[in-house]
Formats: sequence, structure tokens, C-alpha cells
Amino acid sequence: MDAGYRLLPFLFRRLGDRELLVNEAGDFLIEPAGTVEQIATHRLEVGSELYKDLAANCFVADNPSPMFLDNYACRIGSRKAFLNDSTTLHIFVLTLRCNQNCTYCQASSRDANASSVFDMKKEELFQAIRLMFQSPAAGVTMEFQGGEPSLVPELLKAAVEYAELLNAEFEKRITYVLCTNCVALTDELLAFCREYDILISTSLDGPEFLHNSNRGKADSYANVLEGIRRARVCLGNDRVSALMTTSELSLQYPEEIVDSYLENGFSGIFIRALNPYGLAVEYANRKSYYERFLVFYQRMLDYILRLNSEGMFFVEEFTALLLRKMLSPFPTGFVDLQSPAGIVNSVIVYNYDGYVYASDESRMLGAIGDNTFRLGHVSESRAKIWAGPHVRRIARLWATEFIAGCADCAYQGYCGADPVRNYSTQGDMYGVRPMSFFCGKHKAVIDHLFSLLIHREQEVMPIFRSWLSGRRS
Amino acid sequence: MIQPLERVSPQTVKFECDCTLYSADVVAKVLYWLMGEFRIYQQSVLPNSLSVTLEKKQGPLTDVELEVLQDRLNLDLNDYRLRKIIREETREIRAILYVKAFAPYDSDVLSGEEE
Repeated sequence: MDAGYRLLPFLFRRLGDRELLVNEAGDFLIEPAGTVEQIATHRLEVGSELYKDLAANCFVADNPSPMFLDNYACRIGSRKAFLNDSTTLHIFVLTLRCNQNCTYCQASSRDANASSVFDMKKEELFQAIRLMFQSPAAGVTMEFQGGEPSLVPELLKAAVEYAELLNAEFEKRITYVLCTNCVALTDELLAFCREYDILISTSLDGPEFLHNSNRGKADSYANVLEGIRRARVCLGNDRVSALMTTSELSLQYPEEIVDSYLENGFSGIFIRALNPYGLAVEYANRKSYYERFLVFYQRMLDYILRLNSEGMFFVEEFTALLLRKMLSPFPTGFVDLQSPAGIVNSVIVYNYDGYVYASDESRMLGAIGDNTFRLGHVSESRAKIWAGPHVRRIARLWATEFIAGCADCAYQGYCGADPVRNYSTQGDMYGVRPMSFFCGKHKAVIDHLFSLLIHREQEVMPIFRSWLSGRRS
Repeated sequence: MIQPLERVSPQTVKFECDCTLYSADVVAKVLYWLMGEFRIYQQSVLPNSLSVTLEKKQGPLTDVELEVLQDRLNLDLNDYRLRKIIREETREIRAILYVKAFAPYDSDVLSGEEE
């Protein structure tokens, strides 16, 4: 090594005729091709403008002092601050029963009139809540899912009231989220949501023909919109959010989907690809789907950027999450893209049958008979569930920092490890990145965002910053 | 740089890699990313030389694809060589940074709880 300077750890990736350099804290520089060779082989002129840039951004250093190392380590720790809280998102699957018939259903739901054997037992629900309160997290989110949880309002009420009762002792910040299709929201349930400040998270797939086609019901769109309207009146506009799922049919209509969100009073959309679980796994050609999804994503994002350029404030939430990772020093709390993985570390699922799963996707695998990610039962201790043999096995391969393919990837800090996805698509938790759609999709999306930053910075950066600050540019 | 790829059959090419230029782990990382498209066969031919055969999984390898593959191999070998230099030179400082970053939280919140 030359006396001139020391390298600090960083990763890089070629982007056309540029090189993207990303350091351990996620800060990046975009430089001409050949820069990394110059740096790594110590042919960089100390004192040059490039050297100053690299030193200021922790890619090289003259002689790193203990204070420098402390500061830099602190920034690295900040990006992993989500680990300090332990599990914050607690998903309660109150029932598997559902009143819709979605073509892409990922939850293996049952008919609304099916037996109550598909509803969570109250005693097990309370056991699950007691487990949640053992989490060291100062703030927790209780998310109620299904099936359709509004079909069991008595369980929802019991859960919230029991949590409130216990919280008199624990004093945690609790956020309640009801994931509902909004079709069966009664006035009584809405009043309860208002009383306990419960957020409504619903699904809207786009214009009427598309939404109804995806839902397998001719009147779904009208019912959902009516439910959203009533929820907004009762709870306020900002208490109701919506997610869209990109079915095969959706891929043809990116602009129409955005227009339908605008027409229905939303100020953003979350572009979400299908997951390979439940019925969704039956889609004929997954490879073709993901290739077309990437075209769809780019087309939709381009349309949204155009709308923002014309003065509208409309956010693509998935892009905003990635941008927060790329442009800010903070973690996002988005459990799908974390390292160590979001499963267990940030999210846990209490299923309707009393079993505890590593994530929502894990219980979806369970629903089709595969209990690989079933961690235990709500009657067991927190230590046994959170640090039992299942979790220890998964933990060996849940960080991008050391799994093959990710360990050298410049997007390591922006992406995440997903042993459940690896297992469900490739039959093994470790996974093979060159054949992973998860890897391919996220690489392509992040490539696209960097490409926008390189080629359209003046236009897109003010928009991106407004998305991160939540204010119009 | 590696020698030009030699076509063995419509879907198969081979090349030899000088391991004094590119270490075995660098070559392995480059080949890893070709696993989706190719079946890969490796053989040591001399103390410091590795023979690699790539068989395309679907369809013949066109001349254009061959050219793209040649460029990709050259770029990837060089890039992984650089990554190795960076990784080896920064291994210790990275370990120090991570120890410092997570030392304040180095306690098992579940320790002491009954399993």
C-alpha cells in the first residue's frame, strides 16, 4: 500500500459510462469510468478535487483518526437503527374468511360464510398480544389482517381493548392499522376506529373494469369506493390509505391506474408487484411477468414524474422508500428491504390458528402447507419463538452483507435479504442471486433511479426531495 | 483481459484464465453471475491456469451474444479483481467500524429469558 492514502470500504457498480461508488454508510458518488481502478491501485493524486470529494465522503482517508472512525461508525449504526427496537410490526390474522374473490389472492382466504374455525380464538389472540408487549420496542404497530378482518369486528374490538388495558402498564406507543377491503365496514366499526385512532389500509387496483376484474366481483369497485368515502368522512382523509397490486391485467394500464388514484382523492400510490404466494404462484410465466412489471414500473413512474413537473404533488411510495435509503442517512422501516432481513427483526405474524410466523409471506406459505417459517405457537415463550432453532437457522443467511451475490453488490445498503422469497421461489433460503427475480427487480429499479439522477437530475431531484420531505417542491 | 472465447459448439464456448492475473475466487464470482444463462464447467489445466466451458442453457449462442459475453467477462474479471483489492485492504478497518457501530447494542435482549 502506498503511503499516500488509505482505502475505506466501499462497493461499486458500472452504470453506462459512469461508476457508482457507495460507501458503508450508503453515501454515493457517481464518477467517470476508470475512477475505481485509479483509487484502488493508489494512483489517485492526493489533493486533487476528486481526492477531496472521496475523502469528504469516506471513500479514502489520509490516516483515519479514532474520532473519524467513531463518527463514521455512528453513521453506519444509524442506518441499522431499526435493530434497536426489535420487532415493531405485529400482524394479527384475525380470520382467513373473506368477502372478495381476488384473482391474485396471496392469503389463501376462505369464503365469508365458511366455518368459524378459520377465525382466531380469543384466548390465543390475547396470548399473542401479551407476546407483543414483551417486545422491547417503545412503539409497536398492531396490524389486523385476514382474510377480511372486518368480518370479525368483535375480535378486532377485543384485541384493541385488551391492548389498551395492558398498555396502562407498558406505556408503549401503539399504532393500530386495519387492513380491509372496505366492503363491509359498518358505522359501528368505523366509530370504533375513530375512538381508537385506527388507520385504514385498503386496496384499490385502479379503474373500475380493472379493479372488478382483479377482485372477481362485478360490484367490488363501487363498494370499495363507498367504503373509502365513509371511512374518510368518519376518520379523516389522512387516516385512509390504499395499496395496489399489479396483476397481469394491470401491466397494460399504468397511466389509467394513476388517474384512478387521482380521481379518488389519493396523493400517492405504492406500486407493488405480485408475490409468489397463494394463487399468485400459479401465474404461468413468472419471468415474463417480472420483465413486464419493470416496463410497467418505469412507465408509471415517468407518468407520475410528469404530473409532478406540471405542479401536482403525487408520490410513488415504493420509489420514495428507495430514495430515502439512497438520499438520507436513515432507515425506512420498510420490512421488505432490510438487512438483516425484516422477518422477525421487524415483523412477526400471529396467524388465525395460533401459530407464529416469521412474516406475512411465511404464513402464506403455511397456508399452502409449508411450515418452514412457522416459529412456534402463541402459547410458547418469547425467547423460544424469537430465538428458537428456526430463527437461529434463518439468521445465518439473512444479511446482504455476507450472502453470495449481495456481499459485493453496490446496492447492498439499499436492498434487503429475503430468505422467505428465496425459499418460495428457489427452494432454498440462501438463494441464487443470478436467478432471483427479487434481486433482478430491485437491481433494475435502483438502476433506473440512478439513471434518472444522472440524466435528468435538474428535473427529478426537486420532485424526489419533495417526496422525502412530504412538501411540494 | 482473457484470450478470445473459443467456440466449441453452437451453444458452447470456452476460455482459459490465467490465475496469476485473476485469482480463483475472482473467477468464481464472475462465473456465479453467469449461472442463470449458462451451465459452467471448470478444470485446472496448469498450475496457474483454469479452463472454463460455458454452455448456454437455452438455444444457440449467437455471434452478437458471444461478443457481449467476451466484453462482459473482461469487465467483470477486472471489476472483481478491484473489489478484491478494496476488500482486502479495508478488511480490518471495516471490522473496526462494525464493532464500533454495534458495540453499544451488543446485548442479547432475549438472554436470561426462559426458553
